[in-house]
Order: sequence, then C-alpha cells, then structure tokens
Amino acid sequence: MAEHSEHTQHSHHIATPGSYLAIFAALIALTALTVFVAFIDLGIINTAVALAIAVTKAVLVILFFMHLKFSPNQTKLAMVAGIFWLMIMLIITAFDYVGRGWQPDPGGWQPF
Amino acid sequence: MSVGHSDVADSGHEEHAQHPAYHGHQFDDMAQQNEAASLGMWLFLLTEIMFFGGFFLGYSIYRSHYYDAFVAGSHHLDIFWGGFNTVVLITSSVTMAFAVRAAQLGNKKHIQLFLILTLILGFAFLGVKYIEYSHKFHDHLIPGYDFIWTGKGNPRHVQLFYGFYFGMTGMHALHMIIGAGLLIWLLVRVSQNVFTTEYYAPIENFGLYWHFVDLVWIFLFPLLYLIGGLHE
Repeated sequence: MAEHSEHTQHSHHIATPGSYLAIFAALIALTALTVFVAFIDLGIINTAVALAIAVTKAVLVILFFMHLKFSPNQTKLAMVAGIFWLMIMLIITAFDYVGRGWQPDPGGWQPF
Repeated sequence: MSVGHSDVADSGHEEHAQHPAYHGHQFDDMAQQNEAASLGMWLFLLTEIMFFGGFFLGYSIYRSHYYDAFVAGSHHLDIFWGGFNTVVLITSSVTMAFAVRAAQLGNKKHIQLFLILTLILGFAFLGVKYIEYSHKFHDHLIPGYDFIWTGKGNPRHVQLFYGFYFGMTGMHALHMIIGAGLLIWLLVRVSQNVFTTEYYAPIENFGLYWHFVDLVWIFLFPLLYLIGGLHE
C-alpha cells in the first residue's frame, strides 16, 4: 500500500471535528427554534417561518455534512438543477390549483 | 507477473501499469473514479428529491384545501416523539460525517465506532416510529382500515391527512431500514480491510444517502407535526 503515490487522490477537504460539532449545534438550535415558533400564533407567517428554518437546516446539511461546498462545480450544478426541477413541479402545480377558481372548501381554505 | 501488490487482479495486466483492484479500468485515475461515483450518488439523490417532492406536492395541495382537518390531525401527533426523532437523526448525521472523516484519515477503529453509532441511532429512530405507529393503531387512525375520527374536522379529510402521514413517514422509514442494512454491509467490509485512504467512496456515498434521509425528515417534522400551533 505504501507504493501508491503520496498525495491523496481527491483534492479532498478534510473537515475538522470542531466544524462538524458547530453545524450540529446550529441544527439542534434551529430545531428548538422551529418548535418554539410553532407555538406562537403568527397566522400565515408560521408556515413561512417553519419552511425558512427547514431550508436553512437543509442548506447546512447539504453544504457541510454532504460536503457540497467542497465538491466540484459539476456536482454543485447538478444539485441546483435538481432543486430547480423540484420548484417547477411545486410552483406550477400550485398555479394550476390556485387558478381554478374553485369554491372554498367547507374545511376552510388557507393559501398555505 | 504481479509483483508488489497482492490485491491486483491478474488477468490482462501485462499490457499496462498495475493498479489496485478497486480502480476500475474505465477511469484514468482514482480522482476521476471518485468524482464519478460521487456524482452518481448525487444524481440518484436528485431522483429521490423528485420522488419525495411528489409526496410533498400532494400534501401541500390537500393541506391548503382542508386546512382545519390537517390541523386537527396534526394535533393528535406526538410532538415530543417527533422532536426526539429529529434530534436522533441530526445526531446520526453528525456521527456519519465523522465516519467519513475517519475513512479519509484511514482510522479503521474510528470508522467502525462511528458507523455503529449511526446504526444505533437509526434503530432508535425506527423504534420510536414503532411506538408512534402502534399508538395510531390503538387510536383507530389507520386510513382505510378501521379509521374512526370523532374530533374536529371532516373525518374524511382527517383520514387524508393520516394517509399522507403514514405514506410519507412510512416511505421515509423504509429508506431508514435500507440505510441500516447498508450500514451493516459497510461494517462488514470495513472489518475486511477493504477500504483505504485512497478508496473509501462507498462510505462517503452512503453518507450522502444517509444525510439525504435526514433532510427529508427535517422537512417532514414541521410540516406534519407542527401544523396550526398550540394543541387545544
């Protein structure tokens, strides 16, 4: 095994334990925040805040735990493209339903 | 014939430079192979995003149409267990990240330690799901089986909520079970000294899969458990 070339075959960034633990702390804090804010009645804002916190947690996991920040640009582009595709599905389908002009359901209609 | 490395495949290697068995012929070097393997896993995860995305799409349409019923259904879920499971999964992502780091550094004992910790946390998550599901079963909340709802909201709409609850968390749990199986397989391979500081792509790419499963739960928890705030 020692005959292999000395340099590592990846231009791979090896994270420090401290950085992982810092991200861990942030994720736990954001989870606590999600639960806390859920119990405050902000009306329609509740959902927006919950999603914003979830997206922040997702970004932290993707960039640092999944190492996307230190990955080749091709990989980053693939991820961006995937999210773009997901957004097409969610947003344009939402347009479809909202644009139908159906009567509100007895169960109470909320935009989200 | 094969001098030096004991792990070099013999057949047809006289014509070109010898290389370890884990280096596929179609790749110029390990750097290219690792990049290709990683991109392959990322592309698979994108298909998984679209797969779960469909679930989230259906959920969002029906939540907007039957909001009161979804609130009523959500209030019956146990936020404690949902939050507990969220912390369990986040922790398992940390242990998995440390496992990959140990693989980068070639520390076999640490790889095994962190993979086992990840596995234990995965089982803890599944155990909690079992507790939650059995509560639902006793409360007659299995859609299409013996569903009975006497609380607020149209029972048919609440049953729809539970359809999404079981469908989404069940599909997520299936991914966890598959992940647990893969973790065991990885542990076996680590014990067989298959991985080196040059070749640990299976551990790294499994890590990507495991983090993705965590990501899905990060969205599932607030959207299923925390609708409509305070329980009455």
